[in-house]
Amino acid sequence: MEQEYWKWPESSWTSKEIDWKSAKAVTAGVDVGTTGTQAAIMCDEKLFGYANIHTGGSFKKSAKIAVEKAMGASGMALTDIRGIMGTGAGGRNVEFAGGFMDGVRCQGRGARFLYGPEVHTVVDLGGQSCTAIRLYDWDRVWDFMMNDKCATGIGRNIEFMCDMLQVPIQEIGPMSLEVETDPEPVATSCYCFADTETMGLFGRPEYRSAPLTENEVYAKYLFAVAWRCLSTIGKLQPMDVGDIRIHYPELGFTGGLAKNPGITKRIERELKITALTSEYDPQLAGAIGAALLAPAETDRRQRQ
Amino acid sequence: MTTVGIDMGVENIKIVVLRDEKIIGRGKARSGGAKRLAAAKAVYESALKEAGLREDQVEKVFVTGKGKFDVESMAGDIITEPVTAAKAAEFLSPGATCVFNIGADETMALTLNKDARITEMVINEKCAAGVGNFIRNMARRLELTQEEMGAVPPKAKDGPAVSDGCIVFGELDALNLMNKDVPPEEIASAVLFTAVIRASTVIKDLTEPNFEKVTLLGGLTQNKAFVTALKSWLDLEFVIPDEAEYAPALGAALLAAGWGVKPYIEPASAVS
Repeated sequence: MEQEYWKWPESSWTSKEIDWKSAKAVTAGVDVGTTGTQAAIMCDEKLFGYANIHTGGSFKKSAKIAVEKAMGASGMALTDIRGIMGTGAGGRNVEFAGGFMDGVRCQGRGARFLYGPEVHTVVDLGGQSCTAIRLYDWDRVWDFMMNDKCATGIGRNIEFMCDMLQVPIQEIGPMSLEVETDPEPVATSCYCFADTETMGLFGRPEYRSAPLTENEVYAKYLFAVAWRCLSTIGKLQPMDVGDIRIHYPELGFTGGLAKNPGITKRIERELKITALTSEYDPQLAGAIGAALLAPAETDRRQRQ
Repeated sequence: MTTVGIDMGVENIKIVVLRDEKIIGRGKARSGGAKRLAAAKAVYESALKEAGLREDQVEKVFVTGKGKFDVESMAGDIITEPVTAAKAAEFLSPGATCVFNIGADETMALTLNKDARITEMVINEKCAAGVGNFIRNMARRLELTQEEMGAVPPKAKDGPAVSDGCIVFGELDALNLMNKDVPPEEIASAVLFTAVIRASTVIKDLTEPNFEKVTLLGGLTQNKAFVTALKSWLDLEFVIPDEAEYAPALGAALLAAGWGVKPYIEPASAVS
């Protein structure tokens, strides 16, 4: 069996301290992405259980598996959950969900849970899309920006490139940072060009006098990914319109690529900021946000 | 005379050990970025072991493929991909007039004259790169093996379809189909079909095609569903030699042995 370099570790956890039976509101959110599926169960706005798994060939099955893993051995059944909300690229496939909500609102709300009330800019670095979200002081989206069509699939493509370059996916980020100066990025338009260019970088005759090291190649590749994210972030409305200044206060990363320092550190460096950190897995933001928004949204729909 | 040909592809490294026009050893291993040189050395040793040879018994090593510059230290000479493909086609299917090589990253079509010299060559344009990669990646995404992907034969109409612009749009469309809960087998068939279209743009770009005897080479010849779809889409018959996957490596080994190397004659038009 050959090593599967692209596989990031799955995780699941269920709280043993929280007694869900005595909780007033038990809600769940399921974020079905193209690369990973996350489920989060909240008891009175406290995280009770979560699961983070690879999305399989069927979005429906993946959603079900994720929720079951999040419930764990707690004895909870789907009927015990008051509101279930689906979100993400495949969120409409959560059959047992009461509703579907777009990823932007869920990521924003989830980021507030992860990073606290001070977070005002959220950058969701997902498998399929990169979304930059600006929040009001209260939990509402002020402005958001999605990636261009050609810049899609950045997260998925990192899985693929780790498979092709035979480097473990958790290590490509830290390795890419071990360079003295960051080299120029590879093609920044789409991953098709970036892949072809990156795979041809090793041992190229042009670089014969000063060959690129392994880490420099990864740096060039990940800088191109960060570049595509930066172009999305840069399209957000400026914060101070009077003396038009664009700054990114209290920025928090969510999504799977938030765990790749090769991308987040480069974005931080270019924006001259330091991102907020959280004790929770940033990949769970979408699912947590959906779970937190589920009761209000379900009530509103029932009233209508 | 014992020679070795190494094909450093982006996905796999293929090695052929040749003695007196007979393959006596071969090897194949995953390629991959920085580990390419080490992987090539390991598979070289295993191929020699299969052939029952020591390293000093090999007279010449020629390399080809996208990663050919990685193994310069091992190589006697570096040969470009079209030349090895043409040489392999000349050896494996004598009289071939057209060579169609589809690999993980590159698709290439060659027209050969009666002396098996290349008269025209077309390589995919940049957006059409990665036909083989795309199929491999989508198989993993759909949780199917490459054999299972061919379960529903690709068809041109009446089924779900994905964009044939580039792999980025193709993958996006396939994932949208997954979101609509289309069975993975049907998405796989759409994926294979779009790969066929993208590969066939290359052979259609030949300005003076000669489809008398088309020889199909490269790693994708192992994907039966893809080959069947390509045949029906292009309405062509292909010769697929047994060694199609190892063809560029074989071509390099043949060139190292000096097989069929003819003296170069100036074309008549160029002399005047």
